Amino acid sequence: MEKRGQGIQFNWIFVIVAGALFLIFFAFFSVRYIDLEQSKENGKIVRALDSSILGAKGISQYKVFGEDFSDFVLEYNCERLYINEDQFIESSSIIFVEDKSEGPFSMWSQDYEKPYLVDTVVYLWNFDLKFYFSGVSEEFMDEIPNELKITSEGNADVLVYFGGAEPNPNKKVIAFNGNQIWYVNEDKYFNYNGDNVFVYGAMFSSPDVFECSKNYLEERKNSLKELYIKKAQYFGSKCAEYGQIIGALRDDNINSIISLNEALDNHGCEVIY
Amino acid sequence: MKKGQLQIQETGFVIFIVVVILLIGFVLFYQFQIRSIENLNEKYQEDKFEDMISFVPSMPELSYSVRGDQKGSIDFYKARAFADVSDNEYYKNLFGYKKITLKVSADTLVLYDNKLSSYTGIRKITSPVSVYNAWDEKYYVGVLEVERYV
Amino acid sequence: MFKKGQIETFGLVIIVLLVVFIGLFALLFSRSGGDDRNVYLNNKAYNFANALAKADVSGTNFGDLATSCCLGEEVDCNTLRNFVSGNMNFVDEDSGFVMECSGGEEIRVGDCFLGINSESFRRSGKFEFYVVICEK
Repeated sequence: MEKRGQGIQFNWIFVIVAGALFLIFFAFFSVRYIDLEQSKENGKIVRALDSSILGAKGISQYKVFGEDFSDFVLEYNCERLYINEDQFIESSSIIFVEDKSEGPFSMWSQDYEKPYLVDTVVYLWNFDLKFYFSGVSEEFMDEIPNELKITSEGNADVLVYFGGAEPNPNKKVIAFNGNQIWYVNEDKYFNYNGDNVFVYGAMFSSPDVFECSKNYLEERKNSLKELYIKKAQYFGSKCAEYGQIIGALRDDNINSIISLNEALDNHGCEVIY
Repeated sequence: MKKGQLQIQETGFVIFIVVVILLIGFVLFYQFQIRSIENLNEKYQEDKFEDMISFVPSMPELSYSVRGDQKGSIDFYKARAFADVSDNEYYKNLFGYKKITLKVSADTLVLYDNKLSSYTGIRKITSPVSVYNAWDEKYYVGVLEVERYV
Repeated sequence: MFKKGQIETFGLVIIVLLVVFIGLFALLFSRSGGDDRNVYLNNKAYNFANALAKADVSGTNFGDLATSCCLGEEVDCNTLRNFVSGNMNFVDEDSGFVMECSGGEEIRVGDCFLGINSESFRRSGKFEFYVVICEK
């Protein structure tokens, strides 16, 4: 009699243990399945972003990316674009973006010309980010897309000063002085040639990304400069302007390059660009 | 062994086997999903590689333009110059381990070549392209070859 | 020889082994199905058609040669056919060239006419042509 009662008790224990094992197994399976689905989604987002960036390079434009996706975090180390620290893509475009930021993103592309086209640079920033400008020219403000959120100093997330500035622990602060860009909070300085493309680049990117993207852009510009000098040398004997345009290219004299290129065309000679 | 003990052992063993089957099934499913994600990425990389027959001819380094107006052809003399300037970090980062060649008439220009030190194979795509020769002011049909070291 | 429980257990072991082997084979042969190369072939067809449209042939340009052919100059039609056919060697895949004159005549070169078409290149009132590339 006792033995039979003990047998029934033992049966229940056995059932509970077996049931618990199955439950743990399926719970574990569900969690792993959710992780896998998230990974697939991350892959989808990063590929869509890469396509969107390539599309933006086709023509200067403003657009929004990521509204259709659930919350995601973008990280960029100048070589790879990561989504949610998971899926990544090797980026072949010159991008200015924070090293870590949340979507959705505003995307703006702009031609960089010296005066020949060097690249179509892409800027990415969090859609909700607000900016404050001080000491800027009208010409500068005219170039910025209308969709950029501009607000008062107190409400802005990014403060942009043409002149002096003070650090601010709660906001990003950028200052431009002469030929220097100053990331105020990080106390990092970069020289630049006065082109607005680097002003925008600093507004939208962290110091590390700014530095490497700027270097890539300058490297490409120098390669193109050499390329156009060589082209002019190939045709040197045909028209007098080629010798002059070589000098203008070496000096980065934009106005001279433009006028000499036009002169080549007007004299029936092969243009440089 | 008593009958009851044998019965419990058998039941236990069956449950164990079922759990093992489920575990194996799960592992296989997981591996399959991981493989599926990798395949999607590989396909995207392959698509980007094939897109180079459109991307390369339209690069500022190669495209023929007149005062900024694009003409939809490769500029032969820019291509010749590009072959001399392409050996730098920017282009290595842009193209990776690839070889890009332009063939037109009797000329073969190696525009870019960055070999993978121990490559096991080469994947190649080609496309006819329009090439403008500014010296004789003529348009030719050339061939653009893009090879990827794997 | 075998007791009842042992036979059933043995059966379960066989099932486990079968599942493992089927799964392994499925993983080995699970590749993305069917390469979609339409975008690539479309780009290639466009590049080829664009190159033909701009090309200089025998002292004239392709457009003038095609116009002359459409007006009935058979010599120019032969030159055009030879030029197109010669350049088809630059395409790895089977390819075709289709030109429709505004008068209704059609010139076809190559051996593939049902495939991926390029966009049409036209000279208003004279001709329209496109290139076709077939997947290997």
